[in-house]
Amino acid sequence: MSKPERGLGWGGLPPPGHHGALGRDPVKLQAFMRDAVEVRLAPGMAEALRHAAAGLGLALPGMGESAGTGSATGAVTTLGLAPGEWLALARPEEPGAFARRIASGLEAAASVVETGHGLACFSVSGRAAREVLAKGCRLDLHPAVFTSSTAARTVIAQIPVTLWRKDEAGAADSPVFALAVPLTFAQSFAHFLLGASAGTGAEILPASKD
Amino acid sequence: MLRITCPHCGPRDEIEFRYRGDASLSRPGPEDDAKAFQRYAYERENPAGMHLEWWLHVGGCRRALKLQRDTASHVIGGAGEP
Ligand SMILES: [Zn+2]
Repeated sequence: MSKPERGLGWGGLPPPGHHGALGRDPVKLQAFMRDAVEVRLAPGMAEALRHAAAGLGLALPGMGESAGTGSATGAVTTLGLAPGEWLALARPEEPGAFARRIASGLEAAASVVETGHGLACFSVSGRAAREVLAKGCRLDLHPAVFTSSTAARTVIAQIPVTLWRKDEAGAADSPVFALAVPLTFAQSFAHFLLGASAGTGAEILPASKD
Repeated sequence: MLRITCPHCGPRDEIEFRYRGDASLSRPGPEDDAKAFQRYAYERENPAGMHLEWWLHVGGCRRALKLQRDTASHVIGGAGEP
């Protein structure tokens, strides 16, 4: 068996530091962690789900949209990824707690499956972010098309990717693209990000829980 | 490269999809004979022209779509849910 590459942790990115060309505007790459649950509408329960989600303070945006909600469930981002199908993401807490809270709140109106342990999340930001992602992403990421309330599932470098924006509040003009890939593809996807950013240069930030 | 407009996701590149065959066939019932199943499983029209097909949007919404495609010109007539 070959030894794994040094410095590649669960997120697959090398240790914090500079990578690639020494440009003036390096792209920022960061691995981050999320608890995630997949919510699927149970047949014929659309009305019940709307009520239950409202009671829980959980936003259920339309297909291809992302929505954030505050207080009641903590900071949760929900992505509409298919008709009647959502991915809810939250900052990591006690294992299973987020999924239990969502499942008990939605009861029989939806099937709730915890998938966070199977996801690796990366963020790509900085002025060159779009240029770097365009080396593998076939979606139009122009801010007029891919806004801070857009979400999509697509394929990048033959890896299934869930894509949304994780901008700082009030900084919609400097998009932070967030990409979740299956954990087993984390290293391959990190290699894609490093290759794609070699020309502009990349600043690798320490993995984060935020 | 085909550009397929998914009714859920909008226009996407062909690599996000898997071709799943002829969508005009319907499965024979229990009363039908082996010949009908032979036809259903193996025999295809292979037309040069409009063809009704299953496409699975595996890299997007993961839904199965029915798509009309011209096998000679690759013009896509439209896609919808089954
Ligand atoms: Zn789709």
